[in-house]
Order: sequence, then structure tokens, then C-alpha cells
Amino acid sequence: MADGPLISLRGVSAGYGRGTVLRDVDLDINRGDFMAVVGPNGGGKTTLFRVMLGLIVPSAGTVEVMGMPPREGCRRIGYVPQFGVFDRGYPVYAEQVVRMGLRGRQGMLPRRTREQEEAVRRAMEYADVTSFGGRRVGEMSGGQMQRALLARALVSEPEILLLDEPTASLDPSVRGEVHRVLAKAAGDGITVVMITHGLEGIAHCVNRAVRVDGTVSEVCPSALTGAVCGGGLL
Amino acid sequence: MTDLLYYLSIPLIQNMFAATVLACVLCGAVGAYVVVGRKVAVTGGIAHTTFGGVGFAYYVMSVYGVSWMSPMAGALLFSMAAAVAIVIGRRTDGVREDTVIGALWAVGMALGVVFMCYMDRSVIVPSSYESILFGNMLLIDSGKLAVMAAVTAVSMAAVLFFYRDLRIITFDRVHAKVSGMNVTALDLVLHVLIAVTCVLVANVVGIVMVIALMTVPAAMGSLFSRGMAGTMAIGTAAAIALSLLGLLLSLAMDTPPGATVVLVIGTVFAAVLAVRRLALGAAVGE
Repeated sequence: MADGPLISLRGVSAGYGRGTVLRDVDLDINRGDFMAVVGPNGGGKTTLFRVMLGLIVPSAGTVEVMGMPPREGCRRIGYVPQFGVFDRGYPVYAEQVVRMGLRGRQGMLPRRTREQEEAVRRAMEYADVTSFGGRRVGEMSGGQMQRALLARALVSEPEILLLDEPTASLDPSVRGEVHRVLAKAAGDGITVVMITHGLEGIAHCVNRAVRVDGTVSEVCPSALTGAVCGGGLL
Repeated sequence: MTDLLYYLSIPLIQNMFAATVLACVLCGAVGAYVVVGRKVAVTGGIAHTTFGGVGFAYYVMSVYGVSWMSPMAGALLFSMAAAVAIVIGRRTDGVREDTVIGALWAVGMALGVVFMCYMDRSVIVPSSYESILFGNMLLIDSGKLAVMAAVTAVSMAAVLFFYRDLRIITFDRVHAKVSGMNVTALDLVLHVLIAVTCVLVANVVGIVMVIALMTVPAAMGSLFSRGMAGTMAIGTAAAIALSLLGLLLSLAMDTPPGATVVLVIGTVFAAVLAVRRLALGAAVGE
């Protein structure tokens, strides 16, 4: 497993009801990848994520996450959904959001252990959430909310981070806060896969890019920034 | 004042107050999930389905002589069946949750009418439609109160046991699923808790007005609290205080208790929203 791809899709077709959104997708995500997933709206980027997370069963093909079926393997993935899907009036504060990331590993009767408390503290520090840990969801800025979600994903010490447009609807000034955490995670060996509409501010970290538009095709990350595609990246 | 003290010494009136407090305790806790999890329509659907259960109970009691059945047991049976149907419907491709809710809402009411039409009224005289739909707290005897107390105790134990998990699935169910939680089982727990609470509250304010008690106090709690536990605590306190105030007013003014309670809750909520709006407006210098 150590040398194989972390996530592997072979001949995958998937969609909703009778409609097919993705057709015959082959994709390997390897350890150390920092992959940008780009493509038009409705092209299947989020569907691709849902397949990898086991939220959709493909109509054809096979998916493996760390050599396991997605429903089992996805527990080793830290998932950060689109920030806009949250109810900002929900009565929960940042530290509680981070703590939610541990629940899947705790069994029927969760107990707070020293190790788990330490994991929460580390994740909050890592994503720079500590200073606003007591702030309610509705009181956080977009960048703070996104960092709290990142900390929630990181608290279970995943090998892969899947991020669905982590900086969409954020001001350019606060995108850097999120990008800094992602760059740090990549530097610490976490594989990052990120749906995005642009690489501004994070291009230096991205070493692979795929375009999703019904099917998946590899593209040169440099091309996405408007630069000439140099050697070595793909 | 003397009249009021006299009323409060009557056991049936005391039962009415005790039943109200029990229903409010559960309302504050489960209502918080209803509000933050946007389950108001689910609550309405389940509450109205209980009418079918009440009719069913009268039918089997009067026609088949089923002695263990009672209107409350029938209501619990139907409300839980509705809860399960909503959870299954949600997982069924091509079926929208609000469609299932709407269907259950109307079919439950229709079943109640049909069952009560075919029941044997020479064996049992049923409560009036008005009592069932709009509440009649004078029908709460000590046996019913004991059942309500037991149901409240079990339900509160479930709320405490599943407190964190229900918060997680109502905040972000996709993340819960991805992290390995059994979201369907937790959905069932939440919907059954809503069902049980609906039946208890229907005893206080009637089927039609269940939504008010299930949502408004918890909504007030969420306005003044930073966390879920605070939302529940404030919601429970508000539900108890406003409901008891409503009951006292209904005794003093000789108005229907359920409707009076709902009007008090609605009026205070509107006032709270208005004051809050003014305060927020002042804070931003509008």
C-alpha cells in the first residue's frame, strides 16, 4: 500500500438518478500530490469528490481509498465542504466544530482522553483557530470559519485533505490565511486535493491539476496560472 | 385571586400544570434540534399524523376491545411510524422529504377522520375533534400523567446520551457520514424523539398548535445562547415560564388553555424579536 496510489479510480462513471455526470474516469492520487481540480460548474468536480468519499456509489468502475472501499477508506480523509453550506445561525462555537472531527473515531460511548484533547489543541494551533475558539459560527469571518473547518478535518490526522472550493466567496485578503494552512499541511506530507476556480496565491504548492468536465483530464498546473508549462510538474 | 387559588387546588388543574411542565422540558431539549436542524416541517407533519393514531386507537378499542390501547398509545404508534417513514423517504431516490411530510400530514388526518367515523360510539365516547386538535388539558388524569412522566424521562435520557451526535448531524451531516458516523440511525433517533415530543405536547396544546411550543421557545433560546446546551436550557425555561403564564391567564380569563398558551408564547416571541431588532439597530447606529 505504501507505494500505491492513495486514491484510485478505474473506469468510474457516476451521477444522480438516471443522469450520468462523470464518464469513464481513471485517476490516481499519489502521496505528496497537491492537486488542483478545476472545470466548469456542473462539470462533475463535486461529484468526483462524492465518489471518492463514498457518498455516491458509481454506476460503473471501481474506487479504492488506501486500498479499501471508499466508505471505509474515507475515514482517513479530512474533508472540508463548501463554506456556504453552513447555517451561520447554528449555536456552536469554533472549538466545538473542531472537536466534531474526532467523533467518528470514538465509538458508541465517547470519552474525552488526554490524547484527544491534545489533538484538538494541536489542530487548533495548526490552523490558527486558538484565538477565536470560543467564537460562535455566526460571529466568525469567512476566513476564520474556513480555518475552523480545516482544523476539524485535520484533528483526526488524515493522510489526505479533500477541499471543496475552500476559498470561494472569501475576500482575496483572507484567502492567504487558508492558503498558508494548506501549504503547511502539504509541507508536512499531507496529500491535498482541492476544487478551485483559480490558483492565485497557492500556485507555488500545486504540483498536479486535473480538469473535470464530464470526464477527467490531466492539465499543466502552470497553464492554469497563465504561465508557460515548464518541465517536471506533470 | 380567590378563584384562581381555588382552581389550583383542583387535582385535574394540578395535572394540567404538571403535564405542561413535562411537555415543556422535552420541548426545550428536542425543540432546539428542531430549530437548528430546520425540522419544523417534519414536526408539523408528524404532529398531524398523530390524529390518525388517536382515531386508530378509538377504533380498535371500541370495535375489537383492545384494552391496552389508548389514544396516547395510538398517537405514539402513528407518530413513530411517520418518523420512520420520513427517514426512509429521505433516503429514497427521486422522493423529496417535503413531499413525504406533506403526504403523511394529510393522510394521517384523513385516517383519523375515517377511523373515528367507523368506531363504535356505543362502546366508547371519543373526545371531540376540537379537544384533540386544539387541546383539552382537563382530560389529563393521573394515569396519563404517569405515562407522560415516564416518556419524558426516557426521552431526556436519550437526548443526553445522543447530545453530541445529534448536534453533529444537524450541523453537517455530510461530514458526519464521511467521518464514519451512522447518520441514518441518528436520524431515526432524532425523528423518534420529535415524534414522542409531538405526542406529549399535543396533550397540552392540541395537535394543530404543537409546532408553536416545539419551535418558538427553542428559537428564543438560540437568540440568547452561544451554544446548544444554552439554547436547550433557555428554551426549556422559556417554554415552562410562558406556558404556565398562559395557563394562569386562561384560568383567570376563562379562555381555552392551549390557545392561550400559544398566544402568550407568540406575543412574547414577537416582542423579543422587536426589542432585539431595535437593540441591534441602535448598536450599528441605524
